[in-house]
Amino acid sequence: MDLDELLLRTSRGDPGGYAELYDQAGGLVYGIVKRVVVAQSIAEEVCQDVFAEIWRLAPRFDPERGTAAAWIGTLAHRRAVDRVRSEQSHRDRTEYIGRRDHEDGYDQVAEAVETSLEHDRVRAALSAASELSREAIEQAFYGGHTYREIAEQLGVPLGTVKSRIRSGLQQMARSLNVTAEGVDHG
Amino acid sequence: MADDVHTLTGVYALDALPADERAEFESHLEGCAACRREVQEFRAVCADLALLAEEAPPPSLRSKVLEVGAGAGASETIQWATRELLAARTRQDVVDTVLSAVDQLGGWIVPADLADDRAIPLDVGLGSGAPLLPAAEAGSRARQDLERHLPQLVEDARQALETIRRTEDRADRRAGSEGSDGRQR
Repeated sequence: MDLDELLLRTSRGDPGGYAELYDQAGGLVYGIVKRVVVAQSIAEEVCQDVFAEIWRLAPRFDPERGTAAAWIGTLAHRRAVDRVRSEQSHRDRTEYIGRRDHEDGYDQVAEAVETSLEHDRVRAALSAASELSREAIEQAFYGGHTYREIAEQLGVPLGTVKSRIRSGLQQMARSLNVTAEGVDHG
Repeated sequence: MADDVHTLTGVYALDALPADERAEFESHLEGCAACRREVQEFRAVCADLALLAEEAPPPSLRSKVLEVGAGAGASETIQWATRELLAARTRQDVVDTVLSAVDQLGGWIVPADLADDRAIPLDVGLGSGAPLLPAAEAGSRARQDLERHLPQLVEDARQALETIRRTEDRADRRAGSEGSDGRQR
């Protein structure tokens, strides 16, 4: 059963649908949360909060506006970023950009995850973006940093960070054949 | 400066916009379909970026997550209320749903002028007369749940009222544009 259908079942209060949703999307949520917050205990807490929020707000999911995966991913990422920003001071986090770079670069993320067609597709899309765009996107998405922190750390103007991120995402969207109506796997 | 705001779509979609700038950009989004569309596309890309970080959660997490959805707790009430607000057709539906949610969460309603420190400073009357506040004992579970969930619910209720108002306006205009003599004005 696909994620969209499971999310719709969840929105109707179906606990079985919700359980299957967790079994399918739990790794997606836990993974991105942990990547952003790093500490496992915090990742577990945030993951629980995210699924509780999925349960409460599932009625608001509109399949016309995007996929369940995008809806869930958005919720998860936002909660993770909110949590990490409330836990660290600005200075800590700017220093942290450097450490994270060293420890968890894109390549390590790519290697740690088992290969699958889906993952290959995403990695190919990341390569479609320029290296500078990719760097800014990763710092923002996996690192949970604000664009101001990224600009400060990279020593570039805010406008540069904004446009690198935007053009990189545009290139990725083309590579993934993403349209506003959902993902085209064709 | 006005052009500048469109360049924030990517930053916003990646949640890289600091909290103090978020509200401003979100109000821009309300009025800009092109930016909304782009943010939606970028969010689909984010779902794929999240895939690369996929990691199996510890097995102990499953039962904790599934507690939600297993009983009649705050989460069930909020899910119910969210559904009701999306389906609401009249102002009364909206108001009833919010007041019922307060009751289900273990709180009660008090008029603002009679409020003591058990009241939460959030008007759930939704503009129909004097302000009404939800209340629960300090330190109680009900209090926690109300403080945590009501602000979003009241926001949803306001949106529902706005939708209903727009629907009524359209219906009024249509009815008004045909005079009693049947001719279009």
